[in-house]
Amino acid sequence: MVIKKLHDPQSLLFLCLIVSFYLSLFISPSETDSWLRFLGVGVLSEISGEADISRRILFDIRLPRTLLSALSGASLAVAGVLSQGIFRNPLASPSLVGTQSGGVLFAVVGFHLLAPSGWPGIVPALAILGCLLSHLIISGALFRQSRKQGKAYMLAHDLVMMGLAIHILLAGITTLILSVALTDMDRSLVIFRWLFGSYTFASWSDVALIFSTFVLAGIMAVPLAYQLDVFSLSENEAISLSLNTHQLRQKVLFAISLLVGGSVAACGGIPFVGLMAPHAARLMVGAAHRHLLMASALIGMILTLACDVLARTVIYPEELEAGVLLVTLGGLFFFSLLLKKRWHSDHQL
Amino acid sequence: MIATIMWRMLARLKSASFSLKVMRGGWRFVRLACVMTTAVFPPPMVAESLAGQMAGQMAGQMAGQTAGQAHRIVSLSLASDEILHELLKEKGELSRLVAVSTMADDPKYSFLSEHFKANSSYLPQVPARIEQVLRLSPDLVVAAGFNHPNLLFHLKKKGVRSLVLDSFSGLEDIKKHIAVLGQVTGAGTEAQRIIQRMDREIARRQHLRSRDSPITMMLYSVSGYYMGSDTLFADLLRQSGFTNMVKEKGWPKLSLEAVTKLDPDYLVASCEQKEHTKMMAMLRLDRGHQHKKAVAAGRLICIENRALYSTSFHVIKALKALKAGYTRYGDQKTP
Repeated sequence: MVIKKLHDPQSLLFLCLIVSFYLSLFISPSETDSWLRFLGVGVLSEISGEADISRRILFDIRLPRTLLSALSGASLAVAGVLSQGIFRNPLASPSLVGTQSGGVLFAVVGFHLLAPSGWPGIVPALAILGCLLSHLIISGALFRQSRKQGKAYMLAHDLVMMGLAIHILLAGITTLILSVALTDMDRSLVIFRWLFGSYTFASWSDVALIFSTFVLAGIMAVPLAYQLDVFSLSENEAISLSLNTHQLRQKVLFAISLLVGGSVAACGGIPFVGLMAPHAARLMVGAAHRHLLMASALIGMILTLACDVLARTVIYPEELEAGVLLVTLGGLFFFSLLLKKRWHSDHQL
Repeated sequence: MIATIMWRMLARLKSASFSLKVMRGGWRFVRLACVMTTAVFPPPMVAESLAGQMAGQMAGQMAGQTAGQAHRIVSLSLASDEILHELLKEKGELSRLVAVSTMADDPKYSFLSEHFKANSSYLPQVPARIEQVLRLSPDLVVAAGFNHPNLLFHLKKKGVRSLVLDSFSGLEDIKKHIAVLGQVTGAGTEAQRIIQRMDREIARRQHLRSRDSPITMMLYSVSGYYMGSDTLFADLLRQSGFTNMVKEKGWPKLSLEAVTKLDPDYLVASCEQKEHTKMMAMLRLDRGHQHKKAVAAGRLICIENRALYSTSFHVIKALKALKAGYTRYGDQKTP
């Protein structure tokens, strides 16, 4: 019965998630003498004992880090599903909407100008503000354009063009600021670590922030999934089925902004999850958005947790940024997809 | 306007009956020309390795050259700014230093900043770009290992001598740099004087070395990068009789967990003494450091940023600050 259940992709994903959570919480890279201790067996007894450091590491460092990486993975994966749904393109990613660049730009400005003032939380607040502002710009511009063209909806290619334009413009300004203003060595290193996408400095306040944006956007995303299924037919068919596509796009864009904003604010520019997780989920559960949302969120969590575990164990006591590993993994994933496609086409011939 | 000009040029090309085939042939020719040009003039990567080798050889050669040859000296790194300034000032020939680096007036990093504060045009400053450097017609350019190798390559092509200071992992390296710069500028005596001053200061702190159990210290870092065992900071601690807690080489990016497990007797931070209280408050909020015995006992040694990260003879000021900080808290290892 249990084995039969495991054939269900979502149960398998849940199992993988539990294993990832366990490894992320209990793996001890410093314990290289025994495999059992390396895999975290005995950590709980240490915590219940007098080992203050072990308790501190588990509750103050690992637990917020684990939760943050899982929530950021889930947020970006759900944002990826929504982006691919709204563009009707499986290669679309949340960065195509341009909101991530807005968040990154505002955060970099915050790092430079306001973080030295010592007000904690200024960078995350600015990152979310940046995401929402770029969302407002895109939505406003598209609304104006659709009205000008006398259409009741926005064209998908208008959205892509506008998102790309905003993304390139804001990324350019960010690079300009980085190239001109990086004179403080310590601050530059912090900014670059953040830009790579890192869970190193995860704290409970970051977890609270990303949890709140994830819950808000999640409440919005679940009913949108059904509408996106209808929307995936075609623009005209969706309208003929009395779907307000303009409103749907606005809602989806807002949800993406919230999800991406929360993730950027808490852990910087984590790449590729929004593209990779929905792809992998589509291969497992099909294209229906209501299934995709859950499966993508699970895959996103597993991906980020696994990459974070690797990032902090492979070169212990030093560590890598999880974002760097995710980029490499993303490249390999798409290579494998290409090879698979080529293999199939060769065999069909 | 540019678009109009390009459009007219295209129209002329068309009118000269340039067929598509000819255009394609022309494009292939351009690509072939590019490949040939790349083969003849090496791209930056090749130039980098050449320049690296060349700079190393020149540094060795120049050390043996006759004194006083260079009359127009340009410095492109902070270490050479400070050393050359001291050497030539003591010799009374500061006018030979025609330009210093752009960081020379930064009070956070440079000990020359006081001069610039009093007189903003104290010395000309030049960025490490070939055009600006050549405009000064130097006969010697002193650069650092982090300056772009292409710069040295182009200097060599233009016949300008260059000298690269590229190792900063200990006090001996700094003394070597001072000696080499003394030789190439003809200020050997002044260089020896500076080295002797450094040696005297180091010797004064040697009595701290003889102790049974080592006093451990580590540098506090906001960015997560720590100074490892083969850095100038580790050598400063060694010279003062202390031990660096970070055993990894270079500037390791330690994980927060690894930092939490380190428990040194003293923490060292880049700050002014007047910022001690503020820094302690910051440490008490830092999850990687708040539980350390050094934080509990308030044993934080503040060293001015420009002394702590100095790669010239001014690094001795960091050594003095270490001693002063240590004596301030007494010889107690535990709170």
